[in-house]
Amino acid sequence: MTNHQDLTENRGSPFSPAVEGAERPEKLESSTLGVSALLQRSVGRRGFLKAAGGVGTALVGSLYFAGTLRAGEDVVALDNAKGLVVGDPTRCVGCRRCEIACTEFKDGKTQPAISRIKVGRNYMFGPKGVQRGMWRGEGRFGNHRSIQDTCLQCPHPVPCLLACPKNAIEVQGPTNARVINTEICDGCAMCVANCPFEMISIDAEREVATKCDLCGGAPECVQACPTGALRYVPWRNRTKEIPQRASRWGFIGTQEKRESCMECHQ
Amino acid sequence: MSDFGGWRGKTLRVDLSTGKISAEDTIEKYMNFLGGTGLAYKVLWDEVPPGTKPWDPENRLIFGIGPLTGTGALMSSRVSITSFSPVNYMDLHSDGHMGGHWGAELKFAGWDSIIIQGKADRPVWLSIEDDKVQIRDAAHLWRNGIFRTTVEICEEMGPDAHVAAIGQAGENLVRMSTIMCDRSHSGGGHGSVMGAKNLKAIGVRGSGSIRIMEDPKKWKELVQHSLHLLGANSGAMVPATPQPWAEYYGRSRWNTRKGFYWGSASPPIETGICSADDLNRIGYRTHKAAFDHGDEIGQRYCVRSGGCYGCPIKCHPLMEVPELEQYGVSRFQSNTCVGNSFGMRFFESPQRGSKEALVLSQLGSAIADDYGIWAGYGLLLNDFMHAYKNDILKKHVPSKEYESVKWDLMEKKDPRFLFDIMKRFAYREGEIGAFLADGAPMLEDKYPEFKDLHRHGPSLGCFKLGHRDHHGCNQLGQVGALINMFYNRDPMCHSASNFDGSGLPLHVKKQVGEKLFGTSDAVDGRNDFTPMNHGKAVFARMALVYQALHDSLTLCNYTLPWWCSPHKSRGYYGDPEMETKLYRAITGDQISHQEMMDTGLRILTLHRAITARTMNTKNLRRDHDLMNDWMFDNPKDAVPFTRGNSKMDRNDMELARDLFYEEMGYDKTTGMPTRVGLERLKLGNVAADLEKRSLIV
Repeated sequence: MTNHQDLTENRGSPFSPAVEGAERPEKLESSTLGVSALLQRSVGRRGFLKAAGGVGTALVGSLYFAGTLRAGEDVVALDNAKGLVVGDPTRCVGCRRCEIACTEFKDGKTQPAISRIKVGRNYMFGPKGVQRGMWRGEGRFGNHRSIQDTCLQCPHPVPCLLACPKNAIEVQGPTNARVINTEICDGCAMCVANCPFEMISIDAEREVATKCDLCGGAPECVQACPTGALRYVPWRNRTKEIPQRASRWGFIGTQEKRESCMECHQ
Repeated sequence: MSDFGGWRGKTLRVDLSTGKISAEDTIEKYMNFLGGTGLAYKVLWDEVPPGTKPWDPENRLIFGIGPLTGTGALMSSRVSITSFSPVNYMDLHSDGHMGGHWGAELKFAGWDSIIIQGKADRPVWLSIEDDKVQIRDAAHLWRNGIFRTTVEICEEMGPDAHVAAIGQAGENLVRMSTIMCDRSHSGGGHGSVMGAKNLKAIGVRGSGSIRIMEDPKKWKELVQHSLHLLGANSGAMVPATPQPWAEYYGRSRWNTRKGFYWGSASPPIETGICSADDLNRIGYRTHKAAFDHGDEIGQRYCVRSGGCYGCPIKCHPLMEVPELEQYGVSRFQSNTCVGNSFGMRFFESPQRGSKEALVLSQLGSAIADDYGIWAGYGLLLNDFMHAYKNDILKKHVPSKEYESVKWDLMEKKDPRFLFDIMKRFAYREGEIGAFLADGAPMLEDKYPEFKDLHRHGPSLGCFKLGHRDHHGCNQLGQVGALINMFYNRDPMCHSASNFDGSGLPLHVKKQVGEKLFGTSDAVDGRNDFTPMNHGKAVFARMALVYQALHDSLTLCNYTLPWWCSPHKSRGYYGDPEMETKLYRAITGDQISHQEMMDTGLRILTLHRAITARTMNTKNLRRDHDLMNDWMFDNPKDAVPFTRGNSKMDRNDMELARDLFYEEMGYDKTTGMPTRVGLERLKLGNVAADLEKRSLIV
């Protein structure tokens, strides 16, 4: 996951990409509140495929085209994301400045409960909670490791997107992050219930769901980390290696979606 | 919700006698005092009649946080725990300060502070989940240590709850006891106040938000600015060894360098070179494990640096010491500073930096942090070892009890001795338990030998108020001595000691000092002091004002303020208005920097007024602002104000008091707050009360 050699020379600030290939905007906005405007400019061709020509073609196509799935459309996302925030638990010092940056610079308030990166919930006892006894688990009461949970930007089938009865979750360029369109979202929390990694929260003050949008390619959490324990890297499917926190419902929100699924999954 | 950002608008009040739980308007009642210690002093002044003893139900115990707590202002999860103090021999009030994540969590739950009063009729704990506040039965928690208490409460509230608890020491009314949260963050001195109230723990879990009034883009710029000017732990502004990026190096805690490792990380992590410009490596600058445990041992056994919410500095080294398991405790331990030498000090001179010392220190903190006992900056154990070696204990302790102590284990430096001695401490067992539990100031009544030793030291140099010669005249000359006399316990005023601990060369410190204090004469070299002057009085006032602000806003006084910076381009000058800028941006309250300084002075002056009222004195200079003989008499043959010693001069210190009182706006002769001064600080009601008691000059 992390190259442990050559660390002193220059691990690279998040401003200078240490890894080639992760999608970034040309110029960093100093606040991601400007990101939605940036995203509008960056919207490219609609590369998602609605089951045209079978699964194989669809997946190849999705990797090939920069895709954008607009909210409100009753389709299935096949495009993979292009970037991913990855945490290194051995470097994390548990300061939660990533959580702070996530909500202060994007929402104008401090609220770890809706942070799109989650460190606090693992801080004391690790992802398994208190059940393992004090000295045997993770976290400050265990082996001192602080595990950062980040959105995996799931590949197809994207559980949150499929679950949304309002089609409020869209795939947005340039990163192809799975993004909640707050104009459409009414905070029903179906996505929250369906995320196996518990990475979506409800912002009760705005009555919408909220999840990681990769800040248009310049994640605030990565910028804020004082030990370089978070990195923004090219997307890779980590859904099979990161332990799930919740079993998901397998609920598909609308008849159209179900039919769309059945075109492949029959 | 309040009209201001930062605060949530409500302060929680819990009366354990009646079971009444209520909310107060923070802005209306406490805004002039910010929060933290300021809020707490206001509560103590308004509500607790003079003569109230620390363990009386009428005493208040305040868990104070402030408008900056929980926000991205750096190091913003400090909690000021304030109450009349069982450690102080005159029952004066004092504050202990606890880090961790608990303070931030309290804010997220919607509360700006907690005021505890009364006494429960049986052991209880307090559960706070956002608006839902409940007094719960604690029968199953009582007599348990802090770790088990925390775990059992987290089983109920959830693993992301944070718990501040006392151990057996607090229950047993051990004066030298702590309140602790998050495994290793404790505030000293008030554990027994919680115990006396039958309150075992406070669990907090919050889901709410804190508003930041500034535009997010500008707020981010300010946060980056504050990070840019930050150094390392304890105000370090230069690296400890020559570095390619640095102009200077010096005695500092910016000790990482090429080839430095967190050796027990899996796999090991090189903390390496950390330049002042690399904000994504701030967390590696201070290798506290190497600093506390020695370079070799500290590196080998360190898993990582840890510490509080919102803090990039990380002063708690988290260690993995497999040898600990044979003693029945976890191999994973952590502590910081004197907490890390607590266990060692029960033994005669284990060599710091040795494996032996590491095991003693980590077993010591495992036991101390579960019982909730307080090191009191090590003074107590200096006294203990002195009493043992000089047969003072043998003389005063009944022989049957004395023989029951496993001194042979102590002599062999066997870590198992800690189980014996620390249990006596936490349960206040027998004469030896009482010796440890009651603390240094109380010791003098029972053991007359210490009266002389504390006065004349120097290695045992102690103020009657219970703190040793730490950040006093030995480090900062008259400035340190003035700060030390002001508070009612060891002041831990790092705004002054961090200026000294910056590691900057003297001529640079003098340049920065000229900007800060109006004259470079305020700044002396170590052990090269000059006679008192006005600049030093300004230095002492500013150090105290910034500490009061940090403890009220709340920010961490262990590493701040931003007086200096690590940047040559700025002449190593920082931004002393940073606290004001952060406050304005978060709350939207557009006060001037001068008003902020006045707020700090208001908080300090209220502290002073409570002290005078409790002591019922009209002359704090004579009755409270004591200095010990060792400051003036040691070393015996040294001449004050010559290079190589920190000896002070009695007449010079009288002048120091004069100048300091003037600078604080107090009466020069008595050191008392004046009517004019109090009214200027909007403390007219305090002046009226003092007048009624004939305590105003």
